[in-house]
Amino acid sequence: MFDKVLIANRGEIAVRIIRACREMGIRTVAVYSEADAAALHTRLADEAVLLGPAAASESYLRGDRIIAAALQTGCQAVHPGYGFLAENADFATAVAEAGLVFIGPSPGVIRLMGSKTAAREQMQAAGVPVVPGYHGESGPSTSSGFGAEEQGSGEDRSPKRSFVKLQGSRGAEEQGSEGEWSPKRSFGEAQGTLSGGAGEQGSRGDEEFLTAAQEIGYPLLVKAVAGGGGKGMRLVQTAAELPDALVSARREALHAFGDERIYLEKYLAQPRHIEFQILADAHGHIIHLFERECSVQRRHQKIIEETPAPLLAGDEALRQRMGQAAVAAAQAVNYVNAGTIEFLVDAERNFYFLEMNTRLQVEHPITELVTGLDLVKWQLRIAAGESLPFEQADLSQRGHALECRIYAEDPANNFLPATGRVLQLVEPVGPGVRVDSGLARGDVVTPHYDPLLAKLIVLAEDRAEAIQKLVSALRQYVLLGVTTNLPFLRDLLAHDLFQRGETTTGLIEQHFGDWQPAQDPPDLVLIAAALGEMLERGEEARRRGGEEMMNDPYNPWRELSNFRIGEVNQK
Amino acid sequence: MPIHKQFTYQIGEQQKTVTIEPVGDRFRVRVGEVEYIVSVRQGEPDQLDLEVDGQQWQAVVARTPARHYVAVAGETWELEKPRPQRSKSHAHGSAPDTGSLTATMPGLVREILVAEGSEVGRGDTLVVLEAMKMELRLTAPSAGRVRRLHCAAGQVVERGQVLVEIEE
Repeated sequence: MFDKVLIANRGEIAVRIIRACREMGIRTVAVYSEADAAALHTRLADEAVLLGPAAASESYLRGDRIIAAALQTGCQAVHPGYGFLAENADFATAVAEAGLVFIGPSPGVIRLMGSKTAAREQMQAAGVPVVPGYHGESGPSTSSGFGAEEQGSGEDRSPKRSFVKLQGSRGAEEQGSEGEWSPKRSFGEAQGTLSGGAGEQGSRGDEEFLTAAQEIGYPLLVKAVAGGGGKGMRLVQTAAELPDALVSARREALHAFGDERIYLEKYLAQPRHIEFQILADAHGHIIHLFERECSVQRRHQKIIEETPAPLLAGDEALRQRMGQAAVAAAQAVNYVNAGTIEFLVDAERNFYFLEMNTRLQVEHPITELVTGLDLVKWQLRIAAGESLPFEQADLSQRGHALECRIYAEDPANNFLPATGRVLQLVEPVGPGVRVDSGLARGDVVTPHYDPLLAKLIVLAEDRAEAIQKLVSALRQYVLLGVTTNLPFLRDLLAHDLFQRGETTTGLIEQHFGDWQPAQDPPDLVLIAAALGEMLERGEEARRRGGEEMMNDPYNPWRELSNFRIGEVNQK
Repeated sequence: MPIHKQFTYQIGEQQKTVTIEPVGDRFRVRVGEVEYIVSVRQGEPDQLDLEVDGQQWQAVVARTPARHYVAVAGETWELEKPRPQRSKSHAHGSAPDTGSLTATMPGLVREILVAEGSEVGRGDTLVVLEAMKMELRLTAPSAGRVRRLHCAAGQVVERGQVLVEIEE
């Protein structure tokens, strides 16, 4: 087992990995930007190395500095977390070349799964059903060095792409996979991040696309080969719309990902998103840890996930077929370590491979709770060469787990980001209640990173109880000083459609479009505010005033200076 | 002589005042016209155990110069400090309300696409703001000329901060 591991990430996932390492007696090295000098993950690790200024491009994306930090502190391995460089094949390669172990699959597999068309072809060859589509003449894919690139944190794919918030792809959003913010555009993209594929597809390829589209049938999606997470898509309803869609999709793909290659995919109406967790050791043994369903998302941002998937309730046969397909998919690429296969399920309950994520995912805790396994620890063991000691038949799920994500955003301001200082933080506790958080009281939430602050996860015997437990935990959750989606989550969980399990991707747009927080505080709120202020002033008076003030009959705070913390107020 | 402490909060367009008067080992608290008997114990700073008319509650509070935050009864509330009553007449500073571009979210100024003196049309993108990997293009609310820039590329700005002044 490793002696020392460097965690190349921040926030809640860095804290998660540090905790797993500690439990295994592995020493930890955190890396941090100037903005995170006092962050929880920085303080929790045994050692911490400063990477650079706040901007991700100057810190968490500086693979060279990260590797240098690992070498200088004597680490044997690097855990990339999710987002940032987790799916950057060049980084994985550089880690290996520096004599370190990258905790994840091989660079080749990362690169392969980073190309949607290459991944689809592999899957087809392995007999895994894919969404019907057409790839065209895919040009060679190139990558620029990771050091020069912008971002991609949160759950995004490799940062060899840079992103723009895209307009006009609303209709296509349902077939996106990972829910995520649309990351920003790179200002470095003008310098050499254009792939060799640029221009090779070109307009001469359009004829083929048009023909293929006829076969696939409408409506269909034009998607970016180098994209992912539902970005860079165009929904096309008729053949007449296709030529323009191809042109504009290529332009956006080039701009956002540095690679203009696109492909076509049949559009499935109201698909359900079911993903399967994979664990594979370096000795060829691959198992799945069942499924997760993203019940509620908003514009590619996942909000609530659960397992078992309501869709698969009572359909053990479908679960087994999908699980077997997920394992076959991983086997087809000789996958090692933890990964996730995403499927779409249509109205007829046919399932199709959508994409594979070659990293640990944000929502991994729900799988951990129903299976009893610690995925981060298994990642470390696998990377250290250990074999998985269980067979598929040994594994089962028990109970129902639900996760909701707490974001620094203002649902009443169109869910735009919110910043501020965490003035008060009280995380819920109780049986079956888990909080994965990167926050501590006093932390400052800045605009530089992903808006995900924490995850609240519950485990209960069944779905109904899990919902009740989550609602109760949300009511306990106190986070003051930064606007979050907590009030919104409370209302969302209480909604009838959610309670019945009839969630579709349109739930928020359809039913919460005009959501506003409640405006009229009950008197209790005002009483609490006033007493809080009064007590604070009393404390201050006592600190400042001393004897004289306490005895002055005209001092209005004289009464308060007799207050003691922790005692019921009595003279 | 009874000692009252008064605290006033802004709720939307209205103000509400809370008056606290110690009575023995409790407080008589008046909110508007309604009176309550309250006892309070403070554990951690700003974490209060309240008993209001016989019912128990746990509240967590926090304050910044501009607002109060209260979490109680499973909900979170934000209260503003009272605005001066004359606030309407203070509106005429050097920045006119119409024709300014303000930040609709906190973030970093990624790019400024105009200069002082530039002519702009309504809907033209003037500033690109970025926060948490989201890019927001702020557009001119009306046609006119850029009178003054109040931000610089790379600067972190607050929500509501005036970024560009436009004169028509």
